[in-house]
Amino acid sequence: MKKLLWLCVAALLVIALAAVAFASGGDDEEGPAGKVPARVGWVGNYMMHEWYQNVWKGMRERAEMLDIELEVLDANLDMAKQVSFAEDLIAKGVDVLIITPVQQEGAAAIVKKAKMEGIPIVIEASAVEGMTTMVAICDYDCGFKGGVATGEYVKKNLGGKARVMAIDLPMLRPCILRVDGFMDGLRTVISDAEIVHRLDGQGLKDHALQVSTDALTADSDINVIYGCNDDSALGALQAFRAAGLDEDNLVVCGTGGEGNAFIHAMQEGGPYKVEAAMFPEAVGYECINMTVKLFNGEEVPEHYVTPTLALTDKIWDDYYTLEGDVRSINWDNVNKIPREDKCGKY
Amino acid sequence: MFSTESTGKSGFFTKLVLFNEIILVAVLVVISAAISIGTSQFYSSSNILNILRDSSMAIVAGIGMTMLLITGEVDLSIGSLVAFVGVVTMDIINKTNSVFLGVLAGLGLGALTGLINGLVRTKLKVNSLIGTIAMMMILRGSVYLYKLEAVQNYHQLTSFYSIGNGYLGFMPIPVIIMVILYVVFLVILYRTVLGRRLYATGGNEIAAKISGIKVDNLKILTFVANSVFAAISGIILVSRMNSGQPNAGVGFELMVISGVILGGTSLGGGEGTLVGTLIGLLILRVINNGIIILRWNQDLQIVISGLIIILAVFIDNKRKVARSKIITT
Repeated sequence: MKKLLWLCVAALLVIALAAVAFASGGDDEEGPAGKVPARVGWVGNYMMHEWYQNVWKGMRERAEMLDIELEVLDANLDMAKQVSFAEDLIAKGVDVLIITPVQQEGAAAIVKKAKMEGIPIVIEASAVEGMTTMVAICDYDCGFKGGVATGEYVKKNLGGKARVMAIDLPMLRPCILRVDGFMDGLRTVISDAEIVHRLDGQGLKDHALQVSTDALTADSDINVIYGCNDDSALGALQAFRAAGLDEDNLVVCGTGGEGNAFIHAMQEGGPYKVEAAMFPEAVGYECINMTVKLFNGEEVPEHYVTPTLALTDKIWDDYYTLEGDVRSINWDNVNKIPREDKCGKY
Repeated sequence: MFSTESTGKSGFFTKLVLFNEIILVAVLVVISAAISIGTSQFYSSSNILNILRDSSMAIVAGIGMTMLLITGEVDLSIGSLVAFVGVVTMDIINKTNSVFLGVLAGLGLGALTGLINGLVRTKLKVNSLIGTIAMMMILRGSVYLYKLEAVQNYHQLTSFYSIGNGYLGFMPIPVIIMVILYVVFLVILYRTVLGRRLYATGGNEIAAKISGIKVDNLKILTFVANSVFAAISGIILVSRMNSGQPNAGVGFELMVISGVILGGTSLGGGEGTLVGTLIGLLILRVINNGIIILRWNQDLQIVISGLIIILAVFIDNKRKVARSKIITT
């Protein structure tokens, strides 16, 4: 009987020790550099867009690596909803908040509220008054890199003269910066590069197709197409093709790399040769990294610039793989891309 | 063919308002002449064909919308439907390597949407403006549930690409599709019992019911036809873009409705002509084309479209007043 009792006690001790060994250890985990937050909340502004689907993918991957619980809500371009969702997440007790503002002015209220509650907040994409830090690309510099790469292609393959049809979205400052950056970058290689058409494609492929078709009727002597996003570039390319113009004398540069369309275009072997890539997955990845820094009270820059790079048809597969419809990012190579400390233009 | 019935004394302005198509042709000629003075490229063959090809999608959708408005109903979901049809068509073509099956799927989606719109209107008695706004939201959200990103054309089938970009002789294929549909439905609207019933239903629904017209069935049929026409526009668009875009068709419904109303179809029902629709939509397209080739500020496209909507509704109201004066004198 006594032996049985001691056996039971020993067994219980073993079980208790095992439980302690495998226990999660409470709210905070030890991360790669200090503690990591247990729960992070993100209120996006338009999650249906494939750009944000990929930002989310990057956030998810990094959160899983660090064992962070990530809760995501979509304001769907409704500022009131975004404020309400942010308040819900604060009330739920998230450790850090990430906000992609629907409107910069409206998001200032969220920043204020979070500060009052002592919740660190990371802003993604556009600066907000009172923010501690923002994770975002540099639109001007991204366009600039695309322009330089395009200029080099034109110099080597198209006789060194650049006549540009640029598809813009003037109601958004980031898009204006991309086009300005592209032309400035292009002119570092081809100083007399000329904008023949600068059109408002509204960021949509069908609108870009229509306005490009009309513009090419007015003057079809162009050999460079630049789009402020991939849809704009591809819509303009379709218009160029439909007009029966010579594709051998054309180079197309898109911006963003928000979805798989640019990869398909490059794989076609046609004139789509340059992508001013913004790596949305990396934006999401760095947002999570920033939440860790804020959670640990580290000093952070006001604007943390995420990597951008001009991908050409020769090197895109160093950074992405595509299997069927699913693309995967090569984190090792993307994380090696040098980043700017601040943008060339805001 | 003209929408007038002069039966008594009426002023010159009244008659002019009623001879809507004549005014519209004059407006189109004046605008075209003005643009031609600014740039010779306007009347080049490539630009004319460009205008026709680009207008063909709106005119095809306008055929359906005209018939629907004549019955006194409206459909604001066609823009979203164009996007969804494009995505589904492209996806089915990719999966089956068959243009026929893809097109069938797109048309089927159009017909189903129209049927639902018709049933919501006639059985649930939901006003078509509200019901189709709801359908617009459902479709726009559903296309993203179906596919989050654009559907590329994997097989690059020539027959598919030709729908939107090919030529038969010198004529773009979308224009040929538009002309065939236009002529067929011109005959249906003006030379068949079905056409007369559409006008009767829109003119006075109660009287139409009393005279034995199955108004509900007729409206359902018209909703279905309207959505199928929108689906055809969507198929032409997806071929032109060479990909199915979930964000396509934004503002398409407003543009089509503006052109149809500008063309003389009344929001109140009972009136409208396909001739007017054709000219109204061409006017809108020519203005947008002119702004680009004249290198004017593109924002003018939005401003002018808004002004045209106001003008179109104003003329519609004047027309109603003018017609009621003629009937009572």
